[in-house]
Amino acid sequence: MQLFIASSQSKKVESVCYHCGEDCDTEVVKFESHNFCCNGCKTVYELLDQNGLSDYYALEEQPGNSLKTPRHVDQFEYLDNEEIANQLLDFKDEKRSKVTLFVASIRCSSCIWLLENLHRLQPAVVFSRVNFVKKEVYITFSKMITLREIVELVTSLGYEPKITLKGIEQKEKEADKPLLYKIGVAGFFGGNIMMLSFPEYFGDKTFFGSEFQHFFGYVSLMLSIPVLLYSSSDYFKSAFVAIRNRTTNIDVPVSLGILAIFARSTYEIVTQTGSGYMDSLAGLVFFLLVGKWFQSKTYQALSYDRDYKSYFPVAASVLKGGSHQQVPIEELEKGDIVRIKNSEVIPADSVLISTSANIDYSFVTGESVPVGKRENDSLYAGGKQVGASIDIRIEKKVSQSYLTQLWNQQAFRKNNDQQLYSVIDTVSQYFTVGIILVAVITGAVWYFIDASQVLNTVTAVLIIACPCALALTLPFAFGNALRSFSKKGLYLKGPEIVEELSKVNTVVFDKTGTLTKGNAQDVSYHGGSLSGGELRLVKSLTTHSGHPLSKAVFDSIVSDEIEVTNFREYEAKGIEAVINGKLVKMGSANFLRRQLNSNDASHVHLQIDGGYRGCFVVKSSYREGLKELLNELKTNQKIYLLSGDNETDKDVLAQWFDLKNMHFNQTPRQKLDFIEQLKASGECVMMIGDGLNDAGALKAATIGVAITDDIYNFTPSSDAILSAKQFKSLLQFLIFSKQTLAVVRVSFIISLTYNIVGLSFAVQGVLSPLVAAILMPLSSITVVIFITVVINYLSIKALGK
Amino acid sequence: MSVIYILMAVSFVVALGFLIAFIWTIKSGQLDDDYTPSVRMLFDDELKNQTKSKS
Repeated sequence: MQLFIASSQSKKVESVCYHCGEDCDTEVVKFESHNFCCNGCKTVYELLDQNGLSDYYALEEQPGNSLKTPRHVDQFEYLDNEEIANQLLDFKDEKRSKVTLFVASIRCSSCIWLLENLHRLQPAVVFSRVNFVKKEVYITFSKMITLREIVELVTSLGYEPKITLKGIEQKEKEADKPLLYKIGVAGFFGGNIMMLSFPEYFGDKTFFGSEFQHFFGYVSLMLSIPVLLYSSSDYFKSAFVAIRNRTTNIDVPVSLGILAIFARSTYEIVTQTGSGYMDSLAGLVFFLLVGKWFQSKTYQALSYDRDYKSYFPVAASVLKGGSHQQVPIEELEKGDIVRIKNSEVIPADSVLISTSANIDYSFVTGESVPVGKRENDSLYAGGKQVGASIDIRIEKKVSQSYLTQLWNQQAFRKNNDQQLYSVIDTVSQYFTVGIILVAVITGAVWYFIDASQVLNTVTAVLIIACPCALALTLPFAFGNALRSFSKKGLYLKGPEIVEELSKVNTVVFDKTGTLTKGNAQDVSYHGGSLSGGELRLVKSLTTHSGHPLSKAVFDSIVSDEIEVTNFREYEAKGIEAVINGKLVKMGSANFLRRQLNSNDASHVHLQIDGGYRGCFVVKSSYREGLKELLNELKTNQKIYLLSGDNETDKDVLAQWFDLKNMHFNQTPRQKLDFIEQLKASGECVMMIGDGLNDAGALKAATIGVAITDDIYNFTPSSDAILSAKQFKSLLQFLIFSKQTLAVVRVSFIISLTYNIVGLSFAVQGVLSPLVAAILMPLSSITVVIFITVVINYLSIKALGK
Repeated sequence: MSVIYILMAVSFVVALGFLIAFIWTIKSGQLDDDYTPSVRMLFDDELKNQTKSKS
């Protein structure tokens, strides 16, 4: 075990990469008195330094992105394909082209600075601009340079853009703008109407005289028309739809109130019996729209509705007439020979032509260990090749591959008729009925007291009962909760998810990539202790093998490497080589021809010069805080495990999950069916998964949460994205969502109290415009302040600062 | 007191100007990105300082 302790000591604080800030634990590249973790980082530094761009390092410390992961030289070759390039470009004429690149690794001001100064590195770049919030770079470049060169330039600096088919197909929509126009219009006209209502507020008629009162009345009537017809149109539409479907929602009483205010005010102004409530009308609409805007501010850089296409590459390298050509993947035909390089995704179901391959299906099926394949084995789309390049022959078109078919099944699509805001809709149903009852009773009672006052009191009831505070409760409550969640690393797709989150009583976990970390593995050594020299032998041997177990062992040892001779790899058995004159063998118990009690596939045995030394055990590495989380979670939720992997980890997991609640070797379809069953038995199910095999289950669940190390990476379609670092706070998230709903209930009571007080004036027929003008904004502001303060306080208490 | 009509007209026109300006800012996308410009603004200063010190 000592080797692992040694490894943690070797990480010194000062050996941090000057470029990217990563620990230089394996090697240190020294250049101009700075340390770099790899040659890639050093190259970027050199490039920037030579071009007078070293300000990059002055703006922020260690601003760069690590370039450790090797990239292929021809990774972006497909961009030379004119068809693909034209699809990606926003604009093109004879002189220049414009492109928008999505770069998730933009993270600080240095990044912005460098990407906006690209023209100093490459004169052919005319203009470049960064949108930090959307993580986008807009580049205009002259025809001196191709799109491929632009993308390669940006990539060489450590800002690899994500280019996907989905990105090509879907140009973004601008949903926010009409709402902002409406707010602007309501604010502008509302402000002017209020100015005209000032004499009314002071009750001072002597100064202006009644001549102005009438004139002001008509002007405010005119000014309120755009507010009624344009700014509040969404409420009328939504109310109309609800009534047509014979239901009610909160927009029904809101619309009723707006119309009542307008009708009553118009009547008063035209008959010159009063000055109306146009200021209240405009103020109300303005507040409501601001609330709507507040909750609609979501995360522009994240996307929740990705489909399988954004997981696949844009193009594949097809062998045509002796040379490789880049072909868009939807044009791949049966029989095409495609070359797949290390860590590239197989685009369609196919057959292996090369002698052997190592396919990592962890994202597609949940199997944690790459699968060895041989010539003529069939390969499914979505797997990643690990190791040397392979050639494959396409058997099915992309659109007919297993994965695509799976995705297109109807069952995998979530039915979108789910109700938004069920809390408020139930409340508003009673509310609407209540208001209409009160209005009718008031009218009837006044009919007997004083028939001329009927219209007056009924409209007063409708006006004061207009539930603006109620309508503002949810936007502000959920909007605030959404922000608190995102600060802690849980990004919800929309505000309505907060409500669903609070109802969750069953949590279903995937294993690979969810409970375990994506690629990291824990390696421990059991047996006779190894000297530094022996560790060097092991490190030198494993460096030559692409097998995942060898890699895991290799990564766990800190040592230098020495030359190896007679290296041989026996597939699915082990590796051997002569190092320093010693024959070193590593592999399964069979391979070493030994009778060992441990025959587990995750054990790598070591033998040096015929003497058995011990074995390395490679285990899935569980996420931090998993133990505490599951222990707490299982006391108040039902928890289940659905894994596409085999049962290797069953014993470990049995301490948290009941045996009957653990399901291994699950296909995507089985996962989906299992979730549906749970839902059918009345549970509110939260599914947490990461891979494509969870996609169906994520959609079927009440809430599907995709967990990922990098929130900008590909995640299957889901309702929420959880940053893997915050996995341990899952229970806190659930608790906080319940508290949010409690706050909503209290604020319903507050706004109803206001309504009742107002109604008590209205039914007596003594509602003055002044009371209306004060009471309506006052109730809204109280509710908004109450919610904002309490929710933020609770979020600090439940989730921490 | 009829000056009030003129004043009202003037104030209305001025306010209308602001409304049009607001709509224009939205339309031209100035409000799309509310973070980057705040950072970009600071770069210019640092660059100027640097060129001064170099010369």
